[in-house]
Amino acid sequence: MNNRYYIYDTIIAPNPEDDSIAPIDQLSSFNSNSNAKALLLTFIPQFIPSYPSTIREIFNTVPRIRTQIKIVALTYNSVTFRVSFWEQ
Amino acid sequence: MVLQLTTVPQNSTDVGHTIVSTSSVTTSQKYIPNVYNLTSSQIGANAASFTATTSYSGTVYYAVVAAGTPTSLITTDKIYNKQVSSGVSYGSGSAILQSSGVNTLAQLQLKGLKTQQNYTIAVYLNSTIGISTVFFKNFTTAKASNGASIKIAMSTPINVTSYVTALSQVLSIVRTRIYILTPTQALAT
Repeated sequence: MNNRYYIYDTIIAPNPEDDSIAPIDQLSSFNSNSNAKALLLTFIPQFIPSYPSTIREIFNTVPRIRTQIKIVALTYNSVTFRVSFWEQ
Repeated sequence: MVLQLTTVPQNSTDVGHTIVSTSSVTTSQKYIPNVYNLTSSQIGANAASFTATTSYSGTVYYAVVAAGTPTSLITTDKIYNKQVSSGVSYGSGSAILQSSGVNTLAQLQLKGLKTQQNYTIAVYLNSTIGISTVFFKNFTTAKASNGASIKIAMSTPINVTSYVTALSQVLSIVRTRIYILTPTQALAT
């Protein structure tokens, strides 16, 4: 019989004040540490330690302009420009 | 009346004058307390290393402040007393005469910096012959490591807040560094 799993994609952001341990190293350490998984299981009984978790590194992307800047309103003492980006 | 001028070729002759001595107004700069240069050997995300070249042995004091702080607000007294308004890190290093050269160098180890920030380091030399003026140098800390994600499986839907709290305790990180995406469902045999 099949089991239904609920997969939570969990993201760890870098620490701007202490970058001594990179997030991917932190998650790799967690993934290979049975004691850490057992500890999480005590907090969250629904956690499935045997699930083959995959770890990915997230690379930042440079913001890209979608539409070039243009004037949308112009008066004798003010001007409004508009430009749009692909990312927030 | 007619005025007549006649030129006569003259041969140069030794008149017998001798330069006996010279005088100069320049003085040696070596013994004036001064910080000549500041070079970075390593700039990381939260720490940096600098080497100060000074004119004399003594103690080099430094303050790291946010870039753009007016230099008039950064004095030797404020650096020593750690009272610069925008100061984020203070410290000192010994300026020692190098055995294999004439340079007097001080190693400075900066800590407690934030990633990708513009800073100014202000240093001065305190030696037995006096205190130097403040030397400034700008630098930018490096980018932090990339973020990372992991797929965690649960048998039933969970309370996300409780999950974040539990994971922060297991990983020993603050909760604000953890983000949870909308869960997806998967079938496992």
